[in-house]
Amino acid sequence: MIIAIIVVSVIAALGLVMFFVAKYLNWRRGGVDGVPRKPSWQGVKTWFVTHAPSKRRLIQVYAMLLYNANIKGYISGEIYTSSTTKYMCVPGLNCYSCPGAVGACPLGALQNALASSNTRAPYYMLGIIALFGLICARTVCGFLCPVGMCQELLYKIRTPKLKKSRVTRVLSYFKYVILALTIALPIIYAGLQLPLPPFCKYVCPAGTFEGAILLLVNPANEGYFVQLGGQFTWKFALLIAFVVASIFIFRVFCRFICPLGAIYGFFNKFALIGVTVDKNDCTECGLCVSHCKMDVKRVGDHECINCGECISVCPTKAISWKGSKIFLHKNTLEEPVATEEAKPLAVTAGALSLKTPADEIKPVDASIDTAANAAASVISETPEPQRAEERSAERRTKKTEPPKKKRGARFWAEVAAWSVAVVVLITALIFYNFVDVPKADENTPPVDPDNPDIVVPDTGYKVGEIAPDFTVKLYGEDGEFNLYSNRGKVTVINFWATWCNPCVAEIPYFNDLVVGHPELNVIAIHGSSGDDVNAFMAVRGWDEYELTFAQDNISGDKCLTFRLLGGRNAWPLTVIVDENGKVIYNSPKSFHSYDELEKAVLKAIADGKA
Amino acid sequence: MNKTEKIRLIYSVFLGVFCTAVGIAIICVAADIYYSGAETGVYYTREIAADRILKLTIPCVLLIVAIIIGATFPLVMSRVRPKAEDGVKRLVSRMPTDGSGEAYETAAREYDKAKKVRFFVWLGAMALVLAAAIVMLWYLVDTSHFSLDSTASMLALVKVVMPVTAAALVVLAAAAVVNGIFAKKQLAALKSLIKNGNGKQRGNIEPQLLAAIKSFANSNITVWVVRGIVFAIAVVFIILGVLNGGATDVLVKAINICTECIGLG
Repeated sequence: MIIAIIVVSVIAALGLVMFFVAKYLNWRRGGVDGVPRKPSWQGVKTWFVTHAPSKRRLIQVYAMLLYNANIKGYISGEIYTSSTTKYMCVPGLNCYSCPGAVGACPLGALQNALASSNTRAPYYMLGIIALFGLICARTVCGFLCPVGMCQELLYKIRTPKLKKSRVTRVLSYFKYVILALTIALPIIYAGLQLPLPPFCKYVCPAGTFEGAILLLVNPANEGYFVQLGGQFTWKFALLIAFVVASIFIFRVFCRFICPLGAIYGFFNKFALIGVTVDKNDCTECGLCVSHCKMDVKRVGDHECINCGECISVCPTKAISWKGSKIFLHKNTLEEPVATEEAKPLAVTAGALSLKTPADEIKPVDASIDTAANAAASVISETPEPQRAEERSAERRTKKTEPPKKKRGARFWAEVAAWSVAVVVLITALIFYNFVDVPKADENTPPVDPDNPDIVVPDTGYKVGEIAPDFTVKLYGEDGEFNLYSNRGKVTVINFWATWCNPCVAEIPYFNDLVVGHPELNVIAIHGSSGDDVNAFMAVRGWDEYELTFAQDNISGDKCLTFRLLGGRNAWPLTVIVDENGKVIYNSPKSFHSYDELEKAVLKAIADGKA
Repeated sequence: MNKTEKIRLIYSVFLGVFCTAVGIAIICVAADIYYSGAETGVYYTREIAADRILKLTIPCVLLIVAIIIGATFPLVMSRVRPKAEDGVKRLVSRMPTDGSGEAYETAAREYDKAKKVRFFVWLGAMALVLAAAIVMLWYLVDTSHFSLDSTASMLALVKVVMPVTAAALVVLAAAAVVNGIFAKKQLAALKSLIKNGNGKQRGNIEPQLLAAIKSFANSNITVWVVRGIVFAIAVVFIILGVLNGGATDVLVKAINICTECIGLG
């Protein structure tokens, strides 16, 4: 596997070198406009400057890095669990189960809030989404969404493309159907007392890639493989389908599926940031709409992702950015370089003291009295053979460069803004990876309560190891459950949580196990704090169950017993300990039927005895 | 089309087919792993996954190389033609008040016919969409359709709601196409009317009430009032949400992984 990775990396690196060489040679030969270039260091520099990524692309990359600043998570395979920033939502679609994610996903959080709507109203998430919508609306899609950026990069692959049409415009309304189901289904299932985030569970490609695949590739998460089955196969197939479709169709997920984009689209009209059209200057030529790759009917409608690429296309400069005049400037015809965000960075940063290929042939504009224009007019106005003095005069004027633009306040404000952004990113990377590091779990060797002077041998949570002792408080009755005191019987321990859909779904099967196998100790330990578990159980009739319920010991955000028995933030977890205290089963696998659970328990007992 | 452009076109088609083929191969591998494991109950393991991924290494590497080679070609985007509907909207204010002659009469009849067809096509499409929405609403409102086995419930939902939704989308798409065809006819008729009319323009014939509502909705004051209201609601909701534990809910969900919720199931 390592050799394959090395080989692939070398080939990819060679390919990238080939790509840049081929692009440069193509550009030097003349490329699309057929103008040959002279080989020179200036030429190479100009090539890199004109092919630099646009500001929008840089902002997209920046947002992706900031959302996933917890780099150590990719190495350890654990998600970021500190309460510092994870109660805050990021504006774009970024799965909070990604090992690098430092914030919550707004769509996932909204679904979970709706799923808990029978116990508390989802004010927080509705307020957060309203705030993001008011400030940015679908500018989030154009600038701050990693999923959107990935689709745009895939679209750059040189294949035939599907043009937008009336049919794609109609299909773009399908995302409102998805939105309706994303909102309705958690509310319906809240009534059935089962938390369900349907979009995350059955559709979201961000969750499949960032959450599932990035966790699975880490060797420390090998235990998750037992969970994989039909649902993973479906979601994986859907992810690949989205990836392939994105190559042919621009932003296929954003246009036809994404419910978050559908929500933000409602705010586009009155959001503070976005593109706007000056009706006085607009001639309704339709160039902006025909240039746009989204299914807009007009610039700024609910399909517009406010990418700003139409700004440079408008012949009357009627399209500009909304927002405070302090931070953004309305485009004006007088500005020599268009100020829209879509042009390459070097152009809008005013760094062009270099001649671009387009500058070498400039149209004569008599209103702009520059030396370059004087040179151009000399060339264009004297086609007949020239005398020597005219030729030397021409050579002198040709060598005269156009006067360098003064770098005004706007340039320095932009540099300052980028500098602050870079500082924020570096600070975030340092903070999340070196400062906000969780303390290692304290594993003190347990003591045998009957013989306190004797230290029990090393314990662990893996199959074959002696399980560490723990004590948890029971629900519904006064008392505690201590593992070592229950030796002599096989103990089945299930860790569950009220917000965990598969956990809640499988609790009845554990109760059936108690009824069907009285020779077993079966206990369901609830993790996380802050829930009214008694009320949760009463509503479902679980207070009548024979199953023993207990509450895990919580320290900060950590469930101590859960972590003691090998839990790595993934729920549910089932651990089976034999009569002698040895772990014979430890898996995050959830059970979808009583037969499945019974089979697993009996097999574990049989394997343990063997 | 010169030779270079032909080569680029052929290569882009080849690359498109190659991308699709590799995508289908990857999906087939995943499906094969799943169905092979159905008998034993062990679907995915690290070894099985690594073994199957290794088999796809060469096609994936070749695909990457092909993509890089393709990147040396410029991306040529064909322009989308402006829609006839936009042309009608733009020119309708220039419709003449009157005219005479056979050409004018013919154009007027064509214009009215196209306008009526467009109206009734959209009316019919909206009625069907409404019917589809009612079916979906009925299905969602009746909670007996949903059980604790959420996967089975979703499959049942897909079987009922998705065909209805698909039918509604197909009807809408067909209506859009028909609308486009008749919009072209309407535009041609409108141009003929303008050409053969009396030269006096009808002007903006939008009803005053509609124009007033549009003007009110688009005015700066209205936009800022709406912004203020939304901001106030957002802030109040966030505060209420923090107080009622909603923020803690978000945190708890974000720092724990519900495995099935991210596709590990």
